[in-house]
Amino acid sequence: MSHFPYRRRSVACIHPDTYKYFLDPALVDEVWQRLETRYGPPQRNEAFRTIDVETPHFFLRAVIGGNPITLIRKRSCPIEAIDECHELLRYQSKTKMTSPMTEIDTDALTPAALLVTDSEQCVVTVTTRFLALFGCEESDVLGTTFDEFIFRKDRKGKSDYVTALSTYEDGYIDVKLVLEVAGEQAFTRVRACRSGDSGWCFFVESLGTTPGDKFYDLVLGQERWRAVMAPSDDGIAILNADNELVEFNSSFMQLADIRSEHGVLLNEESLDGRELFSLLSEDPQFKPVEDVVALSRTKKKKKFRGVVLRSNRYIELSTTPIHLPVKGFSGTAITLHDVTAQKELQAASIEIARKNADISAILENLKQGVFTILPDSTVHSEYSAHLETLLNTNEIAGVDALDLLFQNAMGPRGQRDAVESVLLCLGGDFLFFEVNSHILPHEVTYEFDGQKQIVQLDWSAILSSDEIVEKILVSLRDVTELRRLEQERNEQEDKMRAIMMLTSVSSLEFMDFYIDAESMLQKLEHAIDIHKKPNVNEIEEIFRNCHTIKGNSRILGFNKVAEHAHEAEHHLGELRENPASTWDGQTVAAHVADIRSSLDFLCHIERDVLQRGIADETRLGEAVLNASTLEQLLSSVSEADSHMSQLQELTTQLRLMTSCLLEEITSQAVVGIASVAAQLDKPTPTVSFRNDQSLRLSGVVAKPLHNMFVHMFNNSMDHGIEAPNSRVAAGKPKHGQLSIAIRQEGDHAEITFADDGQGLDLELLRRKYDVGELCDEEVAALILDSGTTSRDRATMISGRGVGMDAVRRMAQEFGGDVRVRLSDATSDATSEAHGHRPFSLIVDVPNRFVAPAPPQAE
Amino acid sequence: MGSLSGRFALKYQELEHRRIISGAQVIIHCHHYNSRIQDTIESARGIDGKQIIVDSAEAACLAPIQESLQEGDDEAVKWTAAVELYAHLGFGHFDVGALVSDDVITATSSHYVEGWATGFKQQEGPVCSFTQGYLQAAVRAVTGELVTVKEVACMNSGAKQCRFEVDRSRTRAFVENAKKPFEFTPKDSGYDRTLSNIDENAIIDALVGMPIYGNEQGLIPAFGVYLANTPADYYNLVNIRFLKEMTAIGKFSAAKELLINAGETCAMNTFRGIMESPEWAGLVAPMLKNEQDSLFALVSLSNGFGWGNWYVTEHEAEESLCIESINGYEAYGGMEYGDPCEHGQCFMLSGVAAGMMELIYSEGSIADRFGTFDSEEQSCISNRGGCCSFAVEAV
Repeated sequence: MSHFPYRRRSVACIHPDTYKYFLDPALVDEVWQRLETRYGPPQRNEAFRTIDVETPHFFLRAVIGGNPITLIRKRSCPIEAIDECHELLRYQSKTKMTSPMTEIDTDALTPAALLVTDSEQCVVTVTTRFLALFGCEESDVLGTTFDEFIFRKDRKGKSDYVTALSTYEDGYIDVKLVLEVAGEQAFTRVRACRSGDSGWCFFVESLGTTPGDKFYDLVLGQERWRAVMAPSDDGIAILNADNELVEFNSSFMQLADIRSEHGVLLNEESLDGRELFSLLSEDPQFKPVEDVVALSRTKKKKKFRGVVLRSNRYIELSTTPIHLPVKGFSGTAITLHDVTAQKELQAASIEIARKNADISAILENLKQGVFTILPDSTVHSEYSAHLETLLNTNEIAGVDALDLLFQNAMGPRGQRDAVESVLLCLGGDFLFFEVNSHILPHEVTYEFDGQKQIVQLDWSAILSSDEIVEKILVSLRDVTELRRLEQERNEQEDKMRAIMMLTSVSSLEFMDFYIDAESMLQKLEHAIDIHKKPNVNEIEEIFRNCHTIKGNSRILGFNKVAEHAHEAEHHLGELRENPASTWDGQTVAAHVADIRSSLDFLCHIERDVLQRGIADETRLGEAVLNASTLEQLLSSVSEADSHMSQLQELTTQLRLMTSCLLEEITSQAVVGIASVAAQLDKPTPTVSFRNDQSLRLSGVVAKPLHNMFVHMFNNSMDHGIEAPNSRVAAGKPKHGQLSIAIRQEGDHAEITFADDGQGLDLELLRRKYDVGELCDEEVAALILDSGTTSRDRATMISGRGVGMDAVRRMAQEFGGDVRVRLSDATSDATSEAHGHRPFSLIVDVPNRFVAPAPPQAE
Repeated sequence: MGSLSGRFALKYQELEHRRIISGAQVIIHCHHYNSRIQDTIESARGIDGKQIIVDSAEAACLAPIQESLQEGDDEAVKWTAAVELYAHLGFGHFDVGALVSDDVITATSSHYVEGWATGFKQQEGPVCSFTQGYLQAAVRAVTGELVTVKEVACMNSGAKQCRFEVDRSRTRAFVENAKKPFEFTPKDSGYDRTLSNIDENAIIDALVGMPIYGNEQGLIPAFGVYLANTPADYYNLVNIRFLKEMTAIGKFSAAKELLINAGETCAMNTFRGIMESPEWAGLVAPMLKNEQDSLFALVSLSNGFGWGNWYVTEHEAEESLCIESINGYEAYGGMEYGDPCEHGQCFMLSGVAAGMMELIYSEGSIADRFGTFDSEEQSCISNRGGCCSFAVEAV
């Protein structure tokens, strides 16, 4: 409890030692009377409700009512003026020296205020200077332990104090503390020491709170320094003259990264006072730094600047010597700056620059056209120089990519449309590009000044990090020469293949094939009008011819011709099955042209390369005339005079001369079976002949019969003879067996052809052609009709239902016929169980083409 | 002879978050705390701080050493058990090969030497006071003899190995670990899982599953610090006696403040190491969604270290923290030893509460951060509180 009058210091005022004097309310008027008598009447300021008195040395100011009175000293205010005022206020210092220190005139000895405590640090004596410092009363201080004066928020100060107190032995505890007494705070230096065994003395010195005060300035500077260092990402350290760390921030500790052998980081406290270079002695990078610091003892401007690699971080290290007047070298300032990111950026930049240079060089020298398409479908300004050569223009940057690519293109319009649609994915998800890129053209043909140029194109999407297509990279390459070389190579390969094929057959065999194929091809060329759809019969005719060419080609191994014939046949398939469908004469004509080209090529090889000289007009005429004309002559001679026995004899002899055995007629076709079998992955069957009557057949029917047997063999191999596994499972030998027999039957010769295959699937034919009411023989006869097949899908060998129809027509053309004869029994229970019936094909040949066997020599 | 480490297997009391090794509750603290507490006590003038450490270590370690011995063990096996337990707890490695012949024990690695070198100010002189106490307890447990062990050379002073001389003419009485059972039913944990994104159970499970025991050198360098499993009794004995003796010379307030400061500084050093460790990056960092989560993660980690079952009740980032503990070993110690401090017993937790806030929300060095938050233990189990509660505020 304070007693009037008392005073409190006002710390907000810039005037020194400003106090508020609290008066006894009962004596306020009396005090003011004395003040007015001494200093004159106060000025009243009604607006602020204050009263003021100004003297030469101070102001007295109070609210109206006059309590408390604030005494504001002027700079020149002498202590005597204050003492006089105190007298008028009846204010007296209550400080009393009642402690063991009473004999010490502390005010005289030191500018510090003094507290004297007992051994428990409980205050027993306080000087007026201390009370003045806080504007407090003795009663605010006495009996209080010293640590209670330490401001609660000054935890650092208190920690320093208790640490020092705990370890105190003698001398002074010397700490900076913020003290708070009776609500007033002061920033102080406190020096404490034991006073004998009975207590402690605390010397308390205000450190000021105004600029200009040296200590204040020092503290302020220290705090400013700390405010810079603490949050800095740069490591900052101060070494003393012995290179010991005396000050550093946490970033220095982190960047220096000094660890124990177990990888434990040395913290601030363990680094404090340690000789830095010995801590870093294991790292040779710091030796030059140490050397520079040693030199800087005498050379003020000697500094180190460099980058060290420490714990995978690039650290820019710099040192600056600290020199003081008189003393000279006093230490070193070290800064560490983490430049890892810059280093990495620098390295990346160098790499990018290098790559850019590489790319520029590549773009400049690359013999390829390279450019990128931007989101607005225009061409990026950077492109390879060769692109201009390739596309024959220098107007590239910024132009529409589609225009650039297709301005001089010869290809179909679809190519441009495909690119246009894919360009829509620019700015969109990569997935869209990925699923549509297959439609992009990879080869475009251009025409520049009448010259064709084939360009290969490759397309790549350039993506952003989130898989968005930002640009499309297009690379172009002139492949004209490459394609020409490829074509030459292909032609050479074709030529070699053709030579191999042709040399595997005799010239005569090829001649027969060629004449026949040429004849049919001419018919095809004549029949096909690209603008006019053929009628049903014409389509059938075209089919038969294609099919026959295919079969004959296959037999001799002329696969190219066979493939083109198959293509033509295939293309017409839909039209044949659906007569209402559109006629694509152009495509069919193109396939026929391919057949022509392949056939002419074979002819060219045979005649010009192999120089076997066949197929010229003379030999062709001879070959044909020999057979048919002679037959006509023989017929007319025979009818003109049958009585001329000699002439009859001659006739017979001539017939014998122009006839041949069935084995001879079918020999080529039999040889070709092996090729067909190989294509079907089946063993080559055995072929047996039976000709008990030694019948011979006219050369006139030799060719048709040859063609017929080609078809019949193909059908047997494809439909009749089973796969080896199936045959073995059915108890048959792996190899199929074909049997041919000929014998005289009245006015014709009957050729029977059969295989030991699975027979005819009559039930399938019934279902497929909806002929349930027909008997087995009638159903079997369906296979001779056009379009009948037991297959769902055609192969290169057969299956279109053309072959047997053609066989019958060929027979009918020479006055014969073809029939189907079902066998009554089968040894193949499995086939029969599945509705299959064995059968034979019967070819009837009129007697006029049959010659008896020549008389046996006696 | 095979390893006896099976005798020291950790028993974890899940509900109380207590770690038990060789029958003793052990607390995981790092070298920062252990060396600072020791320095605080040994530096105090007017008391014999070193004796406090030695006596407390001897008293606290005797029971677990005895627990690790088995009936039928010969003396060699008993010494092996004592040596291995010391290493298992993380205090280092000592060798008793010259004990019988020369009354000398040597040590080639030491938690306290490493702790002083990496975490504490460099000092000359021996720092293995705890080891002295442990060795005295070990001799007594193995041979029944009461001896005085004195460190005469220490690696902290540059010696190649620490050397301890055994004086068999001891007259000084053994300071018993005279604690009485303390029955207390803590209130239910008020842990509110919605306050953070931290999965405390995952952290504690990971810690319990971690092999936190000594390596071949008997050290536990983990989380960027040296850890050790120290009997809780040691800390309680040390703290209580330090306060008592400091009070006797009129320095109670300073002593209390110093113990709190040790916890505060330790928390910053320890948790800073932990937060920069790979273990933190792997286990905790994926859970962190904001700055506050780090605080909750640290609380969970300290629970896993056996510091107590405590939890945050209120928290305002950068400003304040209210946190409660329902079974802190310090509060229990105050009751077990029958001498609770009038204004709360949980000096370490009180300092840690402030230290966690300073580490997360302040900047600069440990010294810069120190004192930027103020912590006050507002109630304590040792003063019949239902829990120990701490209020932390920015200064």
